[in-house]
Amino acid sequence: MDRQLSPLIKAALPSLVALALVWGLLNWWTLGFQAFTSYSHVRESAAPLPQSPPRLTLIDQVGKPLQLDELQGKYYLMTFGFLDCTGTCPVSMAAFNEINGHLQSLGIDDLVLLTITLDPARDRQQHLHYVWQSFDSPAGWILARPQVQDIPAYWAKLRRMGMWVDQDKLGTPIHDDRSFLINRAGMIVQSFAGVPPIEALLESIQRDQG
Amino acid sequence: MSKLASLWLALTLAISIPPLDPYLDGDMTRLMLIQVPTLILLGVLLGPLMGVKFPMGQNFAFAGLILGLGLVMFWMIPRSLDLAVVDSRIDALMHLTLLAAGLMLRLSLPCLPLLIQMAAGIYATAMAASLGVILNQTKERICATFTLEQQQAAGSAILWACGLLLSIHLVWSLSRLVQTGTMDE
Repeated sequence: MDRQLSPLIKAALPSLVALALVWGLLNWWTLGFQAFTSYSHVRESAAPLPQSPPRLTLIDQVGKPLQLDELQGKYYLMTFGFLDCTGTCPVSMAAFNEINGHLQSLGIDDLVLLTITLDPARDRQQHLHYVWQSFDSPAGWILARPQVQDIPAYWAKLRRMGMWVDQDKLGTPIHDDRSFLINRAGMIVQSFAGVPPIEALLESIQRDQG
Repeated sequence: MSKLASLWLALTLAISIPPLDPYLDGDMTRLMLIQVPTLILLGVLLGPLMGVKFPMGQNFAFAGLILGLGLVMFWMIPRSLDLAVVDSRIDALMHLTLLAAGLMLRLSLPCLPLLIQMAAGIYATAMAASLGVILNQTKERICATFTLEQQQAAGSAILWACGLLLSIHLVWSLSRLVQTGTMDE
């Protein structure tokens, strides 16, 4: 029996080792075949929800400071983009504008929309203010820039939250299109692909309120 | 250095450094249908150029085939492609490993029976075609570094290329089968 098995093992061993190497590499790289894209890899690696937002000091479009990890008492729908973005950001801005209209018509004032720039070096406060004014200065929509010098460290904080962001070879930010719901206790309770429709958003809030 | 070796080196360098490398990286179709196959092909050509004679047993040849296809598969993962586009070091790693994958395929495939060669060709084409369908049909961006339009165009181009590749592979396999009269060689 051993004599019969030995040549078989000898013949199969290199292939089995190669297979194990390839399988192991792909398994490790994709977090157990769960994350094949850059977006999903960051999401799968992020801490589970609910989680605290990253510690960031923001300055809004009118120059008022706010601390991202200390937002409390209201719901916040937070998204990220930058003003020169020609990808998903204009779509997100349009979706936020639409949601803002819905919130106003429904008389909901305890849900604040928060757009944070990924390019604080270029998107200065006056630029954010100009864009905010172009949307008729909505009271329930904050456009903010983080007070950071170290952009890669800022992006690393966002990646730990589940928001993929990087830069291309020209230094332009490239990023996932996600939005995050922060509840009244200041915790991120839901992460959405893109900006959710108002119904899905209100449903998430109701679910959070139990 | 022979003329052929110089030509190989010039081609490999040209495809790996600016201005050609960023140009090919800048579009998904160019990256996946020009740069990646060219690097694999350059790896395939490396064996005869180096004068490598490595008659391996079928057990090692099969392992080489698995490693070669596994390396190519690794660079078909969208996250890997993204990293190669944004990070020059990862890009260099991609170039090296694809050359190595081509070399492994060149060294291992001739040592395997025709049946395995045929199956490997069909499997690799099917793998690429599946990727083409996913890229073409998915309505969201899979690769963060390319636009949705580029992704869908690349998917479509991959499907066309797979059709062509499969036809060539079948003609080649059948002609080999007629020549040798057996699948065991």
